[in-house]
Amino acid sequence: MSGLLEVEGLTRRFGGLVAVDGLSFSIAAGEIVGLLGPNGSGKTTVLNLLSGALRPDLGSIALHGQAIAGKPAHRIARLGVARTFQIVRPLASFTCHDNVLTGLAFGKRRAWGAQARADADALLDRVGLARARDALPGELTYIDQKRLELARALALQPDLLLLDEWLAGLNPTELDQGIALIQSLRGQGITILLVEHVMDAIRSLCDRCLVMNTGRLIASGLPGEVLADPEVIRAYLGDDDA
Amino acid sequence: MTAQDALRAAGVAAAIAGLASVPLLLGDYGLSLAINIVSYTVLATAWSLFSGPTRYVSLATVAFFGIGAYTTAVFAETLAWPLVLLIAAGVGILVAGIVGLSTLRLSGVYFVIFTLGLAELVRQLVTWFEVNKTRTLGRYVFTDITAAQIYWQLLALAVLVFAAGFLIGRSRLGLALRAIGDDETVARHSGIDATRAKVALFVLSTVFMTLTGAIMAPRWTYIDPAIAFNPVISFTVLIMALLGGVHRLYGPVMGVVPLALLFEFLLARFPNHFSIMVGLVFILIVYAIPRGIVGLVEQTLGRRA
Repeated sequence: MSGLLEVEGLTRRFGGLVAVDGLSFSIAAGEIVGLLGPNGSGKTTVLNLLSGALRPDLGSIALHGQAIAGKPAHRIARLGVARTFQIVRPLASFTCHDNVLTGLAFGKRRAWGAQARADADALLDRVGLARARDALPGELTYIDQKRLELARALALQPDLLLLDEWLAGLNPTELDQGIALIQSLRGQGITILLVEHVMDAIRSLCDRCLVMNTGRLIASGLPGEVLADPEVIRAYLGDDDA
Repeated sequence: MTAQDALRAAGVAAAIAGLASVPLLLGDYGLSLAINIVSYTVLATAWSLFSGPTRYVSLATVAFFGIGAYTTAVFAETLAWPLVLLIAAGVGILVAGIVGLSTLRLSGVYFVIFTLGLAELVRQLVTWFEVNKTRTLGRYVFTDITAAQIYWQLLALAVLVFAAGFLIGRSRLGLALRAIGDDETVARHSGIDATRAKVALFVLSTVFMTLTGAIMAPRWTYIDPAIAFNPVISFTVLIMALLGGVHRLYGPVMGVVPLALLFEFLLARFPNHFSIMVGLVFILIVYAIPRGIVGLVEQTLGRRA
């Protein structure tokens, strides 16, 4: 397995709380990997460490064999890691088109001018937002804001895409559309690490799952296997159900 | 270049020519008012170049203005004028670079307070130096620069600041700064080197302020730290920019013209109550037109600001 991402002994403390505790895993190019765990188990902190929003206290992160742990977020973004946020964060005063243009202008390709504008339109079309090109994010529905954030992340031309509960809060129809959209990214050279609670999505999307509890990795494997793992069930539901 | 662009360029050239002929048409009083308006136009436009998109409210305007004025006071008698301006710009860049690198990590109210403190710090340092080293608090500025020449220099500076704003607005840097103003975390995660973008624009914006101070100094003939570093200048620039609107390049000038005229009127009519009246005007503007005149007009016309 050629490791796109290699994480070794990743640790982050907040005061006395060890949010991420010696985490090690690797992701191969082209995989879609689910990062699961009960609330407060450290999943979002892991994404923040990978994207450069936070600096790890200990441990190493390598992307394409290059150490990225502790680098500033904009450097990591240019090296090929893009993310969405748990609560959507579109650039509120930018039109949808300009939101995507921002990713294009400062991502790996640093595109600008007519070509970049055309690419932004193409990306909006790809996530199904072509009709909202000149709308402000505040005028969009929740799913459309999520699509917009995905388009902005894709504009960076990432090798690794981090999705933080991108499918949360969608109704069943939107969920199907969302799963199909992520599924369509497979085979385009994008590797995805997604934090998710929606089991349908995990079962249909993920090649592999990592399960965290209190900052540690407690299980790793095929979605069906890890979801049946007694320790995983204990972490979510307590001893009685294991 | 399309016909529309050519027409626009011709319009701009005609406007500049018209403004340049102002000293030939106005008397001394009119010219001094015009100098006042143009100098505040440069200051307010330069201020909103940085503070508009990033929403970092700076009260350090007068720190740089005063540095420029003092550079003139120190060197004007011994050095050629272009050299004086060059030194002023150099000192301004140096100070802005140090301040930018050390403070632009601060945000919100911390940045506001820091910039206010910075202006006071520079004033106290200059005062200390003058009292202990040169053993005199004030300086005389003797040059043979006329009021009309000051006006023309300021007008040239105003053209430069608008040109800079226009180019930045269409550049990647402009996009980066607006993204930072919206959400700095998202901007960083979109590959934007937020620190570098902010420092670059902070330095550019303050160079215009420093040069304005350097050009304006001969107007006074006598300066001391209390005059050159008067914090009222920072507040006036801030409120002028906010009144006009910082979302558009031409916004601040819409606030400069009415307020400069209003202050002139208040100063003549109510010299003893001037500060109280200015304070009331500040409050009124912030409450009544938070998005400025430009925002108000665009809202009325139903356009998206």
